[in-house]
Amino acid sequence: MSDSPVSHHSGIPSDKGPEKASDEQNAQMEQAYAQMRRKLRMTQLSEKIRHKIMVLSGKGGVGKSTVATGLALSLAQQGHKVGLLDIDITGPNVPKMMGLGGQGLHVEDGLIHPTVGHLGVKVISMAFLLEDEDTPVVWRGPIKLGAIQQFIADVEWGELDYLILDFPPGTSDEPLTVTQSLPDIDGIVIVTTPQDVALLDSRKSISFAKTLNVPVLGVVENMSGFTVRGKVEPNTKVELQAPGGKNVETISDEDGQWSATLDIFKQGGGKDTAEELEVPFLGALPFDPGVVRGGDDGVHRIVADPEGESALAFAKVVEALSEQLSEEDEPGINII
Amino acid sequence: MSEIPKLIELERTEKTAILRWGDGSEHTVPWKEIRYYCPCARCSPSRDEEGRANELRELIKSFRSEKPSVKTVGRYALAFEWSQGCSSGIHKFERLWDIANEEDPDHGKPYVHGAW
Ligand SMILES: Nc1ncnc2c1ncn2[C@@H]1O[C@H](COP(=O)(O)OP(=O)(O)OP(=O)(O)O)[C@@H](O)[C@H]1O
Ligand SMILES: [Mg+2]
Repeated sequence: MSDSPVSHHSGIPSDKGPEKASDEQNAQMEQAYAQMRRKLRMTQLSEKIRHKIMVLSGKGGVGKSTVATGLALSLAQQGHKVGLLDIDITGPNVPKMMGLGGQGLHVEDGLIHPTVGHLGVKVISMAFLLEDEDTPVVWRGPIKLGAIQQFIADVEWGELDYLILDFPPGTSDEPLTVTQSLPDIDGIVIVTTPQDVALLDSRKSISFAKTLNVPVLGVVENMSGFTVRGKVEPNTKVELQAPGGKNVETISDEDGQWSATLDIFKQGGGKDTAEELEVPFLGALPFDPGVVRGGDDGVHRIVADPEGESALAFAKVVEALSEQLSEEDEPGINII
Repeated sequence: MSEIPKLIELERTEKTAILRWGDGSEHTVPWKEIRYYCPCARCSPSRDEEGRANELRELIKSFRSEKPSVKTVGRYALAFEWSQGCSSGIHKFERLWDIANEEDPDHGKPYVHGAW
């Protein structure tokens, strides 16, 4: 707290006898005490949360929030207790994706209680601070970072298996604040798209991760390929002519629904970047129109269509991710 | 979360899982019991109601006995893969310990309904 006011003592003994703390001193003491309590809570909180994963990207709009929400839902679908913290104070969009709108904050005993979204995922978003969802908060500098610290320390998450943290785009102050406040972060998932510029940006975010001193758990390539869907007779083979002269085949389900993913951009960019930078590749997620259904009911594809292409792709990413987490500390179970 | 002994060994037979724990105890648990208590978001809600719980039991009973492949998840759970039925649950050691000790691993609340 380098910017805290310094009190000046004149050196002249006060005539009020034994010193009474001035209001200023009281305020300072209170502040210091609050700071200590917060630090203690951070440590306690950290112990109750098994895994903390940050989702970052170099560029905006690549699908961080979609991926963060998807990871949270996919983990919840497998039976984990999951929390999702949306730190994007200038443009929080996680609540909408989780089907939560205009919730406000639920405060009890001086602690903020998360709101429960789809599949029991606990959600805290900076959006809950907004009076009006469409007016972004323009907090700057220390106030913003202070709010983030407070948010992290004062939320009553309970026991969690995973806490997923969604950030604003770019290599800003927020991730730094979080890594400095929250101990034992497992690492960072970097979201990229197949286009070259986004890949370049993800290179930047990987080097940024190094400066944060937090491991990169891997790269996810979002909007890779295009998922088309349709309806025909039940249990019927559907054949599609894909770009590059390839054919894609799929079979419709009992209701006649089918979906298939076509590669439109050149593929494997995320994989190449991952290899080049020697970080794991966690998988590719298809471009899926309506991955998050718009409007107020904001249903994520994983919830609306738990066995569809997107849900399966997310499940694979989660599997790759949990392999990264287990590698660090072998459970040492003998399996016969 | 109560403290449980460390899971040291899992021996798989056709019909059962033999769990050996750090406190020296050993439990033999039918796979079908573990499968019934699958913690995934599809299976869990079925255990909320008597009728559907029995349906789930019957369904699992109808599967042939099978030794699953197994993977560790982090340092806290196991994931089993069967050729039939659901393989998406992440079975935490605490849950396996409860099942082995014939306690309800859901502790009476199988599934927290979200907003769906
Ligand atoms: N796989 C996908 N398929 C189709 N649309 C997608 C996919 N991923 C994201 N989108 C869409 O792209 C837009 C941007 O996604 P999102 O908000 O998740 O990006 P972001 O990286 O969090 O953005 P910001 O940088 O503004 O925080 C949204 O409209 C979202 O629905
Ligand atoms: Mg976002």
